[in-house]
Amino acid sequence: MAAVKEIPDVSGFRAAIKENVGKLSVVHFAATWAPQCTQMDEVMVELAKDQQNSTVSFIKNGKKVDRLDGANAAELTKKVKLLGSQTGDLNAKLKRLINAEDVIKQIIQILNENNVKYGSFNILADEEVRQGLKTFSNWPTYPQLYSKGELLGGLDIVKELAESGELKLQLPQQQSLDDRLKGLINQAPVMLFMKGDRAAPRCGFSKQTIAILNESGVEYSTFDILGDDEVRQGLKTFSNWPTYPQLYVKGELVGGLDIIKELQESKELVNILKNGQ
Amino acid sequence: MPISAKELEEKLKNEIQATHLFEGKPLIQRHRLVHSTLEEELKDIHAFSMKTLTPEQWQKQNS
Repeated sequence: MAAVKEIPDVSGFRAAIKENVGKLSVVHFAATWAPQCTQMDEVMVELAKDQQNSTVSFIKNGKKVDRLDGANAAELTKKVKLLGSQTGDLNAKLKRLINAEDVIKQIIQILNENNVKYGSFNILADEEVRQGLKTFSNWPTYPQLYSKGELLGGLDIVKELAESGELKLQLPQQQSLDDRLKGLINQAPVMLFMKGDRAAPRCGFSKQTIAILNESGVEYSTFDILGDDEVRQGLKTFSNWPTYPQLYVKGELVGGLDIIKELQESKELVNILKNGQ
Repeated sequence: MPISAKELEEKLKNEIQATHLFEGKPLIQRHRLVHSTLEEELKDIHAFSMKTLTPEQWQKQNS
C-alpha cells in the first residue's frame, strides 16, 4: 500500500530509501514557504493543479532513476506508471544505456564525417514514439535512420553504407554556408538583402532603399534577413560589410543605402542596376 | 559605455588622416575604409550612415 511520509532531514531520507529497497519511492522536494508545494503534497496522494517550485525524484533499488521538475500532475502520473511497471535488473539496464550512448555517438560521427544533412529526434523524451516506432517500422532497436520516409536501418547498416560509399549517394549533403550565400546572392540579377520585405520594410534604411529601387523602375528581388540568422550573420562576414540593407547586382555587392543614394544623385544607379558595375 | 559623437570624430580624424585617401576610390572602397576604422565601435552601433567626399567634392558641394 502506498503511503506519504514527511521526512525532516538527510538521515531520515537515507533511512526511508533503505527501507524501501525493491519498491518504487517517489520523493517530493518541497519548499515549505511555497503554497504550491503543499498542493503538490496533496498530489502525492491524489492528482492536483500545476505550478512551479517543485522537484520529484524517483528512486528504485537505492538509486535515482528519474526526476520531474515543475508541479505537473499529468507528467507525474505518467512517470509513476512507467517506473512502477519497469522490471529487470538495474545494472543490466544501465549497461544497455551506456552501450546505447556509444552507438549513438558512432552513428552521429558517421553522419557528420559524410557531410550528411540530417535532423534528429530524441526517443528518450517520448515514450509513445519510442515504442510506437518500433512496431510501426518492425525494427526493435535504436538508433533508426530514415531517408525520404523510408527506414535505412540501424548503426550496423549505416556503417556498411558508409564503408561502401553508398551513404553519400543515398543521403542529401549539407550545403556549406558559403555555397548557400552564393546561391542567394545570385538568385536574381538585382538582389536586395533587407529587413522585412518590399511591402513591409522593417527599418528606415531598408524602407528608403525600396523607395529608390521602385523609382528606378528596374526589377529586383529581396531577402528578409530578419527571418534567417544564419544568412544575417553569414553574409556580413562573406561580403565583409557590417550593415543592412545590402544591394547586389549580378552577384556583386554594390553597397548600402548611402551608396545607392549617391548613385541615384549622380544618375549612375539605373545603369548599374541594369548592367552591373 | 555608449560612444559619443566626439569620440567618433576623434577616431575618424586620427585614422583616416586626410580624406584625399578617398580619391580615386569607388564609393564602396571608401565605405570599407570607414568600416575598418570603426570596426570595434560598429559592434555597439545599431545603425549609421555616411557621406564620403574628397576635399574637392566637398568644396564643390558647398560652393
